[in-house]
Amino acid sequence: MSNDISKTELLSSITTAIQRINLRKATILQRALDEGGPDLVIEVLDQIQDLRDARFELIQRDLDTNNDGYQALAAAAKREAEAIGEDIEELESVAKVLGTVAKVVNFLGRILIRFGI
Amino acid sequence: MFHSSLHLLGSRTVRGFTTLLLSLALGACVGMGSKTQSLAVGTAAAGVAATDAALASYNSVDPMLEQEWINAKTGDLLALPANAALEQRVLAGLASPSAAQEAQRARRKASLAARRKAARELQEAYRAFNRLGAGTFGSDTTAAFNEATEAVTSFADARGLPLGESQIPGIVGRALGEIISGLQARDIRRHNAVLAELSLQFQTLWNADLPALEAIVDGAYNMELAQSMAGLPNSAFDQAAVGKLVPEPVAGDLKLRLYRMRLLTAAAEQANAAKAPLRTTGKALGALQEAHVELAKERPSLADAIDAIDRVLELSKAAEEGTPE
Repeated sequence: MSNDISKTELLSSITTAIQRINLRKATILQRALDEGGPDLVIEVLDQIQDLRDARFELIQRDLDTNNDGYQALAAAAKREAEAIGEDIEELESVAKVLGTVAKVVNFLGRILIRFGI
Repeated sequence: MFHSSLHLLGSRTVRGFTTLLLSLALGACVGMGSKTQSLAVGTAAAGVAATDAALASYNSVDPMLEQEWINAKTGDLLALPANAALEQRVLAGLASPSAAQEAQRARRKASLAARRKAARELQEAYRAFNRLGAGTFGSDTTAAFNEATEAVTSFADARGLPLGESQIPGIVGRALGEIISGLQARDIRRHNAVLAELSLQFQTLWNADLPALEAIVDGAYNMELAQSMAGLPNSAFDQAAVGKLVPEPVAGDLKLRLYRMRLLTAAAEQANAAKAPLRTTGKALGALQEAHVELAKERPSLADAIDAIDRVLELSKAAEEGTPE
């Protein structure tokens, strides 16, 4: 549980860091150009991208953790749909047999009347 | 004939007949089956609606990684110092997606595909549950036996026989209808329990995903472009254009401050609006649990069950439409 909280906090911290960097990005990149030329600007942009990738990884790992759960759920739900389908078929066959019995009784009743037995 | 038919039906029907005899003996109430069926159909509809809301949420999240990337790179370009060589190098890097970016896309797609598949399979189970609840398996049986009852009763009247015996086929006819209904109700309760468990698993997974899904929304709406634009120096803005967007009678520099603030506020509002359906879907899945719990009761409360089903339908609709609850 405490692990989850720290992961959430870490994600929040990285998001806030990226937001803050972006708010000052133009200034940061201008200083990089002034002090180190285009190569330093590219390096800074790469570092910002590394931060984004770290954020992606943190989110994606959370999603990956639950992937197995979803796969198991999909398989169980599929089995359940099939099980319900089988029970519906069984109910239909029970009703069919009982319906046949009912028709025989009906037929016998009519014979009784017709022949006045 | 009757005996052999019973044999064909197997132990399930024998148990059904035992139930029938007990029911006749105890004068069990007619109509319980139809109530269970109605609630099963309602719960199935709620399950379909809640999974529809989940699928709509996954669809809305799907393009967000791409959107985040576009916003990030657009923000980088906007913030670049004026330097032709630098611009060329950055633009060259954007021409084709990197291997790392492709890998990220593939991982995100796979995650969402697993979630969609689970939601679709669960929805199919609810559709099957609807067919189970809505089926009228015993109606033909009852009709045929009613005819038999009339025929034998007419005969008994004509012959002056006591009616009690001649009513037996009718009683049996209705009772056989009750057997089917009883079996159906039993199946509904059994599958309701399984679906309750499956939808609880889905809700648990949904809630576990929620922080990640909300972070994805933040990445797309409230992290890159608005912040990069708001961080541009005053010289980067067209003061006249900003003046039109900010009508307050303040000096140009202050108009720019207000404009920056509005950019950030709008981004946060967009993110919150996109997150709301995710939370609402979670609530719909919670209300779906309540519908299952009610249906599982020996004597379910129609009012409570309908209330839970209605809430699922309303929350799911709000989530799909992205409107407030």
